[in-house]
Amino acid sequence: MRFYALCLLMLFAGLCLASCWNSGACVAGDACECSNGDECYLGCDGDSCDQRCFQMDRCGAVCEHGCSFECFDVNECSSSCGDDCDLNCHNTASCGAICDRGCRYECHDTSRCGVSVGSSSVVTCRNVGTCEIECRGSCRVFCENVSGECRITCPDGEAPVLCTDRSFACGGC
Amino acid sequence: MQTAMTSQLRAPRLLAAALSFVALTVGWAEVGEAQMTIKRPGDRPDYKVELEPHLLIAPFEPLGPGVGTGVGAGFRATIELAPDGFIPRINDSVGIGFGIDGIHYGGNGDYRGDCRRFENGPAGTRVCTEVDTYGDASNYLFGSVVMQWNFWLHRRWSVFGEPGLSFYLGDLGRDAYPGVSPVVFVGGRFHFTENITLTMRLGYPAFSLGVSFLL
Repeated sequence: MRFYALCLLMLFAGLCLASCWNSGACVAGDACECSNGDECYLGCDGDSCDQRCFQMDRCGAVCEHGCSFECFDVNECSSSCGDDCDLNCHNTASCGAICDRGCRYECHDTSRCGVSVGSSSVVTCRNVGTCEIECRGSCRVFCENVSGECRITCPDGEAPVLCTDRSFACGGC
Repeated sequence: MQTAMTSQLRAPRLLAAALSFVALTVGWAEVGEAQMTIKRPGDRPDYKVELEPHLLIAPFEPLGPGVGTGVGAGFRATIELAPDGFIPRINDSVGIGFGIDGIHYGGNGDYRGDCRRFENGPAGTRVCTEVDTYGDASNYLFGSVVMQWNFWLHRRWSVFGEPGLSFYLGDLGRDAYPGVSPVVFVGGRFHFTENITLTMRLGYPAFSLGVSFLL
């Protein structure tokens, strides 16, 4: 009987090891993408994911810091990111984003762009219908060929200033 | 010549083996019958509490954000409440068990999920700020309360059923997602000695293998 008990114990240990082999997820350095579907939201386990969405109805990415995300040929696209993210949204009906410090956001060939960024961020709106940027700290915003309104909101109700490179800035050029 | 001799010898050996098997089976059955205790209420280890450290395998995904299969370890303490059990003519007993288990779920690699929370962004946009799965490993802590209904079948074997509830903290170290989960187990003990057993449990949320000390 002790023999059978030992066999059982070994079987159990084997199953334990087998279950540990199951891993994956979108992690640092991985290229993770969704395409050709109705709706998809991409998660990232921690920082530095490289995420992509295209040819979908609704798509979004959620990441912590240092991530990149490209979204195109999507109806409604969103991204949520921490610090130092590089986000690009184009050829969509709407692009929405919330990111923190050091965010680089580019929005082009889109009907509607709405972005909330932290300090030291740079946002570019090009060939868009409306562009609405909320800066929660210092930021630079380039509005190029915006058919509607390019509205920039700075912290504490401060007015954005126009810089020599034709960008708008919160917190000085 | 050698082949013929070999086949002549094989028949008596097979007969001897068959007879030995029958004799052993009958002998085992007689010994087994003598050791059956299920119809003798009270004929079982005398104990007040069962302490059981164990290892865990979770073949099922948990409630909450965890995905994939899991492994872990835990501890169960079961206090005997009704030594005579529910059925008078059967050797059964009832206890209440309190357990704590930690399980690491390995994830399933699927980082494509649904959005769990949207926030309003500028220009009337909706921004997803939390997805329901990110496909990666997660850690759970379960605190369980169960009713343990024991059946003392044999001097070497006892079995039990355990329905109950488990309170868990899922995704520890990230969001510590709390919740309540049903638990249900069937289990068996192989008695190394009267009061020390190898205890196996099958059910949800995890299978376990441990050693019980009936004190």
